[in-house]
Amino acid sequence: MSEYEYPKLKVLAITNHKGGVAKTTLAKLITEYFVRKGLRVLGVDIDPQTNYSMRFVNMDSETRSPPIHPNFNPDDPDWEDLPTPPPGYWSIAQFFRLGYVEPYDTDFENLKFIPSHKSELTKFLEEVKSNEIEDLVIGHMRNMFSLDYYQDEFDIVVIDTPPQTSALIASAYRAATHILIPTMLDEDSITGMVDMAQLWKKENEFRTDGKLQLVGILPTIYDNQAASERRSMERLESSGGLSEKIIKPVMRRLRAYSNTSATYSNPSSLFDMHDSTAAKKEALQFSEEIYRRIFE
Amino acid sequence: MNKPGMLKRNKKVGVSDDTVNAVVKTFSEAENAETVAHENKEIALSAIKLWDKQPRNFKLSMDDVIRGSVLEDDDHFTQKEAELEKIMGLALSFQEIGMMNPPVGFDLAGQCVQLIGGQRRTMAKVFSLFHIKEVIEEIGSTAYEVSIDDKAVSNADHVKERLEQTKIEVKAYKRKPDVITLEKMAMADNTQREDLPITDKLKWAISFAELCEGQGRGYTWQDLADALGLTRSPAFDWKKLLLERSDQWVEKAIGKVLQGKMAIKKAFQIAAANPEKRESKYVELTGSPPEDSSGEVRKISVKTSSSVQALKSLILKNSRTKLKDELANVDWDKPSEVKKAFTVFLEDWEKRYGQADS
Repeated sequence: MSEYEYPKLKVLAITNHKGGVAKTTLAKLITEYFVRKGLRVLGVDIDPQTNYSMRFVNMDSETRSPPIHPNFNPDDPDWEDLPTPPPGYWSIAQFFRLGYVEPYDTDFENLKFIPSHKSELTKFLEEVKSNEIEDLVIGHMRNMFSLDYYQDEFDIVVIDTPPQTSALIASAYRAATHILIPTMLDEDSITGMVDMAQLWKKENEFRTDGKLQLVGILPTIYDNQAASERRSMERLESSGGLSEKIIKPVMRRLRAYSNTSATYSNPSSLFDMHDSTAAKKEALQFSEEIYRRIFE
Repeated sequence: MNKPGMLKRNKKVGVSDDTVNAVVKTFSEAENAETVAHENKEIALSAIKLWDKQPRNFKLSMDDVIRGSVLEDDDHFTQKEAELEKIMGLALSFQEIGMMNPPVGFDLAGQCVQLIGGQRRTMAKVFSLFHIKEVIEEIGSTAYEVSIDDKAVSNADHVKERLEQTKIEVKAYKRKPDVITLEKMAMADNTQREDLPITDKLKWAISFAELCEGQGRGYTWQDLADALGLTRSPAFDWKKLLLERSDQWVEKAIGKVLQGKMAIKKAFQIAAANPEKRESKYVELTGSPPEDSSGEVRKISVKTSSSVQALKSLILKNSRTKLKDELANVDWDKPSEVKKAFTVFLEDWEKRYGQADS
């Protein structure tokens, strides 16, 4: 078996070093699209802001920590094998710290979720010694996803990443088979993609096989009334290297996206809105395009 | 054309061409990136982690190097002093001609590198940072000399800052090599050194063999040739010695080599002999039956030693820096001078280690 190809599992990291480009909105949409498509999906939130988790897991709104897992048994003898006893809830912090986590069930039968934890994840990263980061953080997620459980139970993992350059992002890149880049069409967001590409290059220089693939660039919060955005789009489309990487239709600046992305929105999903909703129509189309680029 | 009533639009709105071109370029590089095993890069001295599992017996610590001296009450004072002197020599040579081969390591997170080989070179760079001074000679040329500068290292923050600011070239592997490759690389980096004792090589070879066997894999003559810098034939001798090391006569021979009482070549001969002839081979090569030789220590009286060169070597090797310089200038062809030198050496020795019981 090759070293950097999972037997079956696809791992999609949704990533952009710049914040506010609708990464989490896209992560929620694409997760739901895959679920509705019948795929067995694992959502993984490595962003301490926990917004992606709030959509699928009943998080504590103040502490931003997950609830006690319904199947948690404090007397389970298996916990003796862990470095420290588990707290009862499972978050991405335990995933890294203990090397074990029980994903949460969600409202969707074929979606399980590993939520983030606002304070614990940050604390964990502060405690890891610099010479252990490679093993305990960067290589850890890939090692975990290589386990039979993840390979057998899921078709795709969707990772929502924080807007920064950190060991967590490097971990997501190491674990991923594909990256998807949402971006706004302004100077800062496009410049941010250069930094991302450098990390992507570094990852591919590291891998001997199973190179990390770009699904595409999805322009987000796009306003076709703004001349600057139209001009930027034209430039991207006319540049030989990027035109085929742009996913269409783009995600326009439509209120329905932000309304349905809010934690306690009603309806909670854009896909539950009426078929004639413009945002739903385009979301279905770009999600299908993303699906096609990963699986076909 | 000048039409005051026309709204002027800035055609340069939107993302600039330069930015788009930069994205195209980096994306193309990322997509087509070939696997890179290693790269040479500049790393801050503070970001270089020393390798604890050195294949050679080496006691000097980075604190000693930064201080520029070994503490008098250090348990390994003599060995460390000798090691520090070599570091000084290396530091001077780097100032004169530069570092020919960069240290070798592998990437850690946060732009840090874990050294595999080149510990002494890195230490020499640190030493020269604090304790090598440039001097202008009378003829106008530049020279370098060791000058232990206590002030330069008295402020811990200042030391930290200088280590963070000073970078050296390191050959950094992208990924941590597997444990067996690591062992081979670490030894290969040391093996060219003339002062690497055969005992260190043999200890390394035995631990390497144990490591391979522990992982359920064998080792080839090529493994040993690569790591120990050998040609094919000697590599076979080493392999045979390692494969037969559980035989009682080979084991005894290895023990003697490690004690410095037997040449490795004799151990090779014993390992190469037919198993039932190994005892006689052992007796033939050691000159005495093994029972008599176990735990036996041959005493050599200095009084009867006629080898002035051996005495000179013994004295210089075990003298501290200043005394060593003084004794090196003694006329070793004159018995009276040699006698004086030995007395001075002995006095210094007794100051450091106390008088012998008898």
